Amino acid sequence: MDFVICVDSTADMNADMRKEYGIEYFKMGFSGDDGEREADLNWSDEQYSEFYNSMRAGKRYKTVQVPAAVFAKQMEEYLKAGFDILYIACSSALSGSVNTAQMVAGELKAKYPERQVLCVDSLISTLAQGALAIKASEMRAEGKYIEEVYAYIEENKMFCNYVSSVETLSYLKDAGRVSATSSFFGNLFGVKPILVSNALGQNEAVKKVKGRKAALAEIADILARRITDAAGQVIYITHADDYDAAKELQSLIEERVEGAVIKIGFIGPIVGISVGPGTLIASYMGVDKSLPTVE
Amino acid sequence: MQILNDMNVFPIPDGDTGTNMEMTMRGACEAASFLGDTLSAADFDRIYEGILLSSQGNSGVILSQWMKGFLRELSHAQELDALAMYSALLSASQSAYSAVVKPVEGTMLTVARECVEYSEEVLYEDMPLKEYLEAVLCGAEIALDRTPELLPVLKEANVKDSGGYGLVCVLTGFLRALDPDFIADFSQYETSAKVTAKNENEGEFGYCTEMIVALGGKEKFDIKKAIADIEQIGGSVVATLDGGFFKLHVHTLYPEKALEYCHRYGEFIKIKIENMTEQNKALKKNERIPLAIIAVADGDGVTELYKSFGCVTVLRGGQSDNVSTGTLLSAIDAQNADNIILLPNNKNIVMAAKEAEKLRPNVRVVPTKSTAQGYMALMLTNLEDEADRVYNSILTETSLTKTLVIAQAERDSFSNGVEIKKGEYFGAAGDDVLYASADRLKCVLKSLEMLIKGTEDITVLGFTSNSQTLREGETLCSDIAAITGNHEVHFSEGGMSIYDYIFALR
Repeated sequence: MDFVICVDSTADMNADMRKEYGIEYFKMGFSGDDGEREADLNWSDEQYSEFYNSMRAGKRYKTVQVPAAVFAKQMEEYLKAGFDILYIACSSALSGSVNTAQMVAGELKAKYPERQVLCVDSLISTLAQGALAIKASEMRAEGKYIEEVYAYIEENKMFCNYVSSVETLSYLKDAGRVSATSSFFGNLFGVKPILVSNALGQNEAVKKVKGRKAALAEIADILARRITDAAGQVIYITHADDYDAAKELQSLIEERVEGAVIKIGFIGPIVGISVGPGTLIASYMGVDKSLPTVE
Repeated sequence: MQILNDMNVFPIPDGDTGTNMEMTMRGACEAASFLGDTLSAADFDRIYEGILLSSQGNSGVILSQWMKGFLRELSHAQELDALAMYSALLSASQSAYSAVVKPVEGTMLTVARECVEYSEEVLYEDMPLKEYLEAVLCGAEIALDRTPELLPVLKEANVKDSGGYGLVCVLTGFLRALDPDFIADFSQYETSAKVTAKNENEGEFGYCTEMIVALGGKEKFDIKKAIADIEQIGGSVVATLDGGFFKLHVHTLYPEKALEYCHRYGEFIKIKIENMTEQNKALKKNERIPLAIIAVADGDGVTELYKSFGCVTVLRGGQSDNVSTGTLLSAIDAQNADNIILLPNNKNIVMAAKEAEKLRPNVRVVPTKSTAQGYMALMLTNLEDEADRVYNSILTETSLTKTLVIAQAERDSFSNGVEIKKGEYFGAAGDDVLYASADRLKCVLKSLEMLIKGTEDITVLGFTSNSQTLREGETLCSDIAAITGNHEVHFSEGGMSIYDYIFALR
């Protein structure tokens, strides 16, 4: 039996990518002083620039996890049509969506007892989360059952990594989405924090480096050290409206890693609100992410 | 709603608990507004559906599940009495727990469970519903009070659990539906919550002052007015009116004012005053930390910057005010840390620091020559790391960071082949004078150029003596960037006394 693969707004998968792999998504939301909006992943480059420029100009937004009503409506559509659902959700350390989804799924079980909804807490976000969904989609195309795909993703999610640099920690700090304590939050004057997704699915600041250039090199170094089976692997660079830096990072990674394919995309609104403009994230499959990043 | 938002620290401190819970309950209200006078089982389902669909956020989802258990159980009840309410609340608590994959104690779950457990003990046959609900609310309050003990993150932030408080609000709402006069007690929670959220003000208030007053004075007592008045005297106000007794808790620098105020309304039954500043000191001393950093610095701006790193203590001192070994030792002994790293931040203090290092086994000195150099090293070090690695990193970064000071000469002199006239500005790196000029800006640029010529990709951090030198320095950013080949040029007002500028170049 066929099944629907879903992600949510933090997976940062654009329309082409979702179409290519047949992946659906549950929309989160965000609000500013001008009201609430859906966290759409179909924005044009101009819309993204406009959004990040508004943040650069000092505008602040709050994010809203996927509402139960959205899950209920969308899940029921799939179940009614006879599909099972595999939901690869944003890290539970960053969003409560996976919990809500499980609750709604429990409610729907009574109505559709023969159908199943399987939720994976991906412990990660952005295209690293998306990459897990793509893997699931590839397995589905090979004719694997939903249970097999679910088990595979659960077993392999700890190898799904990202490494990132932010312009400032203040967005992460304001959003409550960084695990470092106060000693990391000094006034940093252009020193750039390097963050990774840790074993708990939190963003963890692991290093501080001097300036933009050094930050890009550090990301590339960490990635090169930790990536496994690079040949043929797709590395995703997502950026919060700094395409030039993403390109620069791409060539730094290419210098260090052979045989990988590198794709560049935007960080969507939800992750963007939490990390701030200028952020770069490189997502890859590598060593178990509970292994320390800096030796 | 805002109060709850401000209290929100767990699981994600994004300040939306109030909004989420309000949205969720609003769903219930909207669904209920379509109902008639008598309720069928389907009506309960309709209310739940309204709640579920409008629930958002973690707290909203848990609340919706709590309501689910509550409504499902209630729909079977013949009559809404204390026993039916007990069963409904018990079912609500179980349902809330089942909504969460990994239940965490110290949250609204704890409040949901413990209020029922508490009420169970006092429940008796034919207990009036209102009395029973008051007992539930009392249990909920006790549980809420305890949440920081169960969930360390709450204790750190000095708040009660926001979702738990939200549940207390909901229970209060139940009571208000039975008895509209219940509103008075609601404002009491609000007061304590407001203060809890504003914990950064703690410490300003010196005495924890508590009293019980038997009301009976000539003036008419109004609790709302009393709370407002007492808030003028201090913070963390918690006030309750119980029978003829007014109970007050307030943190204030002037406990006598609180006593005087209350004495107007009656006689004291009990008074307790404790000096919190002393308590905090004692408390702090008891918490042993793995690593403390002591930095010697002068200037308010510099001090603030150093303190922006949570683990750094600043000892005031510098070029004009050399710190003795004795002073350093007392600063060291005031720390309760396994490891202490000492940043003297001045050539003249390095010696004293080395002496202190000899006398205390857990102290290591990094011979930083200026506040800017020490700060640069801290910025580039992961201070969360193990003490040895932090020390090595600060040491390495310090050795890689050059430092330059700009000051005005107090007399004519000749040094390192440079002639300096009284009143001129000179730039010096360590003992070496590099350049002197009557033009301060020229002196800055020339000295920087001499120090970093030929090296690439330099980050520049400059502390300035005051706001004027800050503005002046900032006009130099592009000129400095041209020298360093890097746009990382940052100035900050340091407020130090002797030097006009202190630079770190890395």
